Amino acid sequence: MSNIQLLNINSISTSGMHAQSQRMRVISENVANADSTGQTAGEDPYRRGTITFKSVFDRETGATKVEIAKLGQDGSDFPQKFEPSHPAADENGYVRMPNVNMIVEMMDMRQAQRSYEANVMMMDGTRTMIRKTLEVLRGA
Amino acid sequence: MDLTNIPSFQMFSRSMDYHAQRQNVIAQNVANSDTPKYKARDLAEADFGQEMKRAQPGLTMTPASHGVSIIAKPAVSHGVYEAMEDRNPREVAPNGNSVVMEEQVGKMRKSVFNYNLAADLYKKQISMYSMALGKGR
Repeated sequence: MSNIQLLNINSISTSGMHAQSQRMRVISENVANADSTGQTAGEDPYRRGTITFKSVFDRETGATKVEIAKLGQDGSDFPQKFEPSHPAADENGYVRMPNVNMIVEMMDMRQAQRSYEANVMMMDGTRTMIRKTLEVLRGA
Repeated sequence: MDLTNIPSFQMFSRSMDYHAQRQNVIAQNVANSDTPKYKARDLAEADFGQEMKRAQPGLTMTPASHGVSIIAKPAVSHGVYEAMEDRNPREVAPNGNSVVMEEQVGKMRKSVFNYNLAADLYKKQISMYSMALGKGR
C-alpha cells in the first residue's frame, strides 16, 4: 500500500517546521533589539536580520523540501530620532535607530506561526491515515 | 483466495494510493509555502466515487487443497500520479510563491477523509467476505 508515501510526509513537514522556527528566531532577535542603538555616535545601531528560504529536491524521497537559503541583513537606512541627551546623539542631536519596524515584525511572526501550525496539521492528518492503514492490515 | 483480483478491492486500494500521493504533494506545498518562486502543485483530479459505484465484486476461487483461507494482500498495481503545477493560481506573492495556505488545508482535509473512507470500505468488504465464507467475525 501507500505507506512509503505517507511516511515520507513526516520528513517533509519537519523541514517546513524547522524553517519556520528559524524564521521565528530571526524575528524574535529583531524585536528584542528594536531599540538597540550604538553606545556612541560613531557606532552603528542594531541592523535588522533577514532570512530567506529555498526549496531542495530530496532524491531519496522524490519530494521537494525547504531549507534556509541564507541569513542576511536588511541594508535599508537607519531611521534618525531626535534625542540630544542620548549618549549616541550626533552633533545635531540625532540618534540613529535600528531599522526594525515593529508592525512588520509582528505580521511576519504571525505568518511564521501560521505556517508552522499548518505543517503540524499535515503531520496530524497523515498520522490518522497511517493509523487507518495499520487497522486495515491488522484486520485482514 | 486472493483478493487482489476483485475489482472493488482494487478501487479502494487505488483510491488510497492516489490520496496518499496527493497528501504527499500537499505536504510539500505547505512546507514550501514561503519559498520564493515556488509554485503550488497538485495531482490531476480523479473521481473514485463513480468508479467505486460501478465496480462489481466478483469472486475468484482458486483450488486450494487445504480449504479456503482469505488472504488480503496489498494490491500490486499502483499508479504513479504526476504532480503538476497549478496553471491558474489564485494569488501569487511578490516573491513568486503561489501557495495559498487555506486552499492547501482544505485539500488536505479532503485527502484524509477520502483515504480513511476507502480504508474503512476496504475493511468492511473484507469482513463481509469473511462472514459470507463462513469464517464469522
